[in-house]
Amino acid sequence: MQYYLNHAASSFPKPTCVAKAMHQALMTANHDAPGRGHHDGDILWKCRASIARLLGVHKPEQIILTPSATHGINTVITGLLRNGGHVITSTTEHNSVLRPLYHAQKDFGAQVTFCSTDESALIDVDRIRQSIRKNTCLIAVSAASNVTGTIQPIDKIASLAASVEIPLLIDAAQYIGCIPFNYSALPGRVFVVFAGHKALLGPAGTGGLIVPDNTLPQSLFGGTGIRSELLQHPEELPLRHEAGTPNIPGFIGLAAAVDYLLKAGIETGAQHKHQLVTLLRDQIKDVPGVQCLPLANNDGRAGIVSFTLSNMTASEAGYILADVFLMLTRTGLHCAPQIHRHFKTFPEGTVRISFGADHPLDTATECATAIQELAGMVQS
Amino acid sequence: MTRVLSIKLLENCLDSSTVKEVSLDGPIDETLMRRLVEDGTLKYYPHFPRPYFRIERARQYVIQGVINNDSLRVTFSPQATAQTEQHLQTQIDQS
Repeated sequence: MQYYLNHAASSFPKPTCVAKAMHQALMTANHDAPGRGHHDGDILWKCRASIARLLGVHKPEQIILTPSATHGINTVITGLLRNGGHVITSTTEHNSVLRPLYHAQKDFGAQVTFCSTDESALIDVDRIRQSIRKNTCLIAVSAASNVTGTIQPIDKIASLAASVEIPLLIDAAQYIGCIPFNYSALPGRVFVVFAGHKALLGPAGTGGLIVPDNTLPQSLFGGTGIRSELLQHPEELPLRHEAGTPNIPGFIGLAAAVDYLLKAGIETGAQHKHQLVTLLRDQIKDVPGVQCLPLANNDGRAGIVSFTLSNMTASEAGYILADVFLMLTRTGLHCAPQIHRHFKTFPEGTVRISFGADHPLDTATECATAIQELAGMVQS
Repeated sequence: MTRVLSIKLLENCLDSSTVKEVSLDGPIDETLMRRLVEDGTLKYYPHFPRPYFRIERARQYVIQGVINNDSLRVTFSPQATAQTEQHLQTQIDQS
């Protein structure tokens, strides 16, 4: 039996309803301008409406459908930092945030402050507060680390950002779908990006950006299928940030996945993943030669356990887990180099196990047994 | 006789090592494994769910493999040269 333990990269398998919806979409002719209307019958409007319901977004038009979370992050960073300015972020971020910021430094003259975290990679809200300058025009943080699974205090960060009227960008790629999320409860001007293919259980090539209003400068222009007489790209949401033919089968699949989650509920899955993480960590934490990266507040709802082994590289361990124990994990830096410098696991990185909500609890014990075997190898 | 079908660079979110997958035209057996050792060090774990071995040749490469698989993973050390890879391929092809 093979174990797929790479849900933080992309969930697998997808619910059957997702495959069925996508198959139907691929076999059905669309003669209109799909996805561009604001009416209930529009196929992509249904996707926005379902996401809005799941994430507590008042208006579906606030949801920009994108090919990925990264695309949404670029839209916000390019929009807000095009004239330079100061941005605060953390050292736990994924390259989806880091690289657009490095480019904003290089291309727009933006200044970036990287706030270090505590020993468990938890962002310190006070450090963000102390880093605020007169020209700070964005705070950009992840809601959950893709390396450790640490869940960040996004409500507190949002309160801080709102109190000083600085826009906040939340990279929720590892959070949305894992943990209940209510956009409307966040104060201030908050941008949220999410991936469709991770815990939302949709297909790759789908994601989204939630915008608070229609003032973010545009960075994408082109065909919209409607309003073709205009010289300029439409300014109203959601077209304001969408151009070109959308990934229609993908978003139909995502809508089916979100509807599935609306029925199944996210909290149950979150608690189940927390159990899996706790079980695994408890069984390997005292194994000689195994070092688990710390998890803040012992909150395992993101479903991630990262570890290293003495005298064995992560790459080598990942190979053995895959080819000997049939456990498909992810090894390396997980596209988040700075957090590995923090944990001194750079450049080899870690082995990351990331659970799905459907894994039986004994999967954690199977993983622990395999890791104990690996540890035995390096001890012998 | 086992032959190399292809050698593919593995690119991923990995560290900066050069890791290659060597695809073979047949399954790996213990005879091939032992031939690959040369002056290296073999660690063999036949009791694992799938028998695993690791061959390390200092300053050249680490070979990881599983008996009955039809590919090997080779992590080349920074000191390895093009000749190192060629030598490994010849070694397999002559086995």
